[in-house]
Amino acid sequence: MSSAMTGTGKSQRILLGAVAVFFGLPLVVLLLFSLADGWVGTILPTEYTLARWNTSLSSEEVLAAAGRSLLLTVCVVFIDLVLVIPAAYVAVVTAARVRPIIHALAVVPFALPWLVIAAGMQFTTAEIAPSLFGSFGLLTATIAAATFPYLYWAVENALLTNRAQELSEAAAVSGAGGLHTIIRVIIPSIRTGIMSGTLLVAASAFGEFAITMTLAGAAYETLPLWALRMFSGRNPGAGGELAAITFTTFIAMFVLSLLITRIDTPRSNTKAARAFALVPATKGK
Amino acid sequence: MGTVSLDHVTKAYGGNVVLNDVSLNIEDGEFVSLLGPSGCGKTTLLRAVAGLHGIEGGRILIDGADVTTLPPQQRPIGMVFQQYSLFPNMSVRQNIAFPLTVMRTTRAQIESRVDEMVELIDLKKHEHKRPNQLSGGQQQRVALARALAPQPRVLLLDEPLSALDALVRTRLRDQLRAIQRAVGITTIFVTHDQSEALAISDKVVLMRQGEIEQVDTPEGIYLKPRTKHAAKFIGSRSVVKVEANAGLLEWHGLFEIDSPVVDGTRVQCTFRSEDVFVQLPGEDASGVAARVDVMIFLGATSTLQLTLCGQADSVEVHQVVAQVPAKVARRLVEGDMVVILVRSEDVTVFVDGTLMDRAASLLAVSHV
Repeated sequence: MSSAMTGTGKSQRILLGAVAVFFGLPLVVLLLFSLADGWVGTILPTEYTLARWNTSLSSEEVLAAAGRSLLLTVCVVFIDLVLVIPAAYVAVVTAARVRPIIHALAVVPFALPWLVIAAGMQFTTAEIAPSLFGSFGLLTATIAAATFPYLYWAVENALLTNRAQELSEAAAVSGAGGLHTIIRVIIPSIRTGIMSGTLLVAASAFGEFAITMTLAGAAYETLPLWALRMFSGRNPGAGGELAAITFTTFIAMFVLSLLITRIDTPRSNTKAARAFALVPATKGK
Repeated sequence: MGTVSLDHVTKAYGGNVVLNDVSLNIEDGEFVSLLGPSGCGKTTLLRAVAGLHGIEGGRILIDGADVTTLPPQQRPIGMVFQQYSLFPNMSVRQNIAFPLTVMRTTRAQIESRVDEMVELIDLKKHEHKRPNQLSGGQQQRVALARALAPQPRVLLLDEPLSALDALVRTRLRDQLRAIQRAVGITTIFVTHDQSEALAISDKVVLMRQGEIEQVDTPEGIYLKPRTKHAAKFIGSRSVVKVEANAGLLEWHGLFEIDSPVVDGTRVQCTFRSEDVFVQLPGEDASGVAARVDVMIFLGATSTLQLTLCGQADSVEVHQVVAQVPAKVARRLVEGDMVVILVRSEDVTVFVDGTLMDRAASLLAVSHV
């Protein structure tokens, strides 16, 4: 190996190390804080305990808030998947003229603070359908509307990259109808885009608090709202528990990302891989 | 049966007419190529037959049945695309089985037909691979098998060889023709490559600006182009302007033919590059002297760009293109002088872009 290449390798390692420290150090500190029993005037804690982990993970209040967050996340992801995939398919494959309109809509949640979106939704429902005010349905729909661009851009990009238009035409001349084509050809082909978009939507919905606080408030306390309550100091000494829950949430998301990455990785041509195929398998030889 | 009839088909994008009153009949089992330059409407015509493009006027009939308004799913066609368009999430077998599963054929029938198709395209060893594990030629064979699997009446091929390298392209072209003959399916093949069209087709449809310029056998279209554009597009030809004089058409001593038009009429005379008879200096040569300006080596033959000499009083430069065998080309270098001649029977005459039938004209003159 040439010295120039060795030099490049070394600088790459330094760069990677710097990135790892930048992203990893806050997490390490968070973990230490959740485990610290005494940490005053020293670089590392002087004593460690699992008490805060035990307390927080067995707290009914925390578990209920986590359950609410999870339910909200599942509903938001479901709505976005059901609406966004067909919309992106239409925009890319069947009616390209609607694409600029969807693009404009998909930029709004990035341009407007979600708090403003929530306030807008609040005023609108107050005028049109006051009965929906503060409801779980309104909350879910609003978060779904705010998070849909994450899924849309990922799906549209995957459709374009995988030449969905050509695949759809090939399916059509093979006799397949629109729904059959979407389910059997398009969705399996753009699985990577759907997975990454879904992950972004799920992470955003799970961690969302501005819309939830504005539309539902204490009536629907999700995990981020619980964390906000702990953080605002109404429960003195709850910082350790907050750190334990935050770290747990991070680990959960990290594991979920890893799983999705595993699913995204193209499988080898194994018997198991064929068994996973989303089309009726023909006999193996 | 697998006849295709296009009856005054018209297609436009806004004000831009891309198919202008196109009519064509294709017989059962024929291999027909739609040939023409980019933008001539050949792919649009093929996609109209497939149902991927609607048409504004006319009718499309397959086996006598009007399919003009039917979606692609309901037309008895199979289609192969330029970029293969194999389903990336499916194996070779699953791709071939796809149209059969859509038809709700029984599992046993699907398996049997897929076996047959895999055998036909000779990809038994690769039948469980995904498209991205295959070469371009292999992928295109899978696409062909997928198109043929449901036994369509008509096979549509949209420049299926364009994305392949030269060697694979020639091999696959021959395989394509062999498979088409074995299956006996009516086939419409779109290409802009004249050598491909001439080599593979029963009939060539030459298109230009949304219209059919000429329909003929490969020999017919090559030897007897009916328009100036057909002559220019098929093969390599020199086109020169000549004015009829004293009942003759003569061009700087290179050729002299009886004129099929009245004196004073300006016509275009064309001759193929391989019909320019190139004689080496020092031989007992007859014709006109020319200088070799450029020599392009093509392997078995070479193309010579020649400038006629001997018109010292003329400021015009008269150039022709000739094609010579390698054994002649080996004895030449750029700048050499040669003597060239074109036989009168190899000259084709066009008036206002339309072929003049010299024999018929002469006959008409003699009757008068």
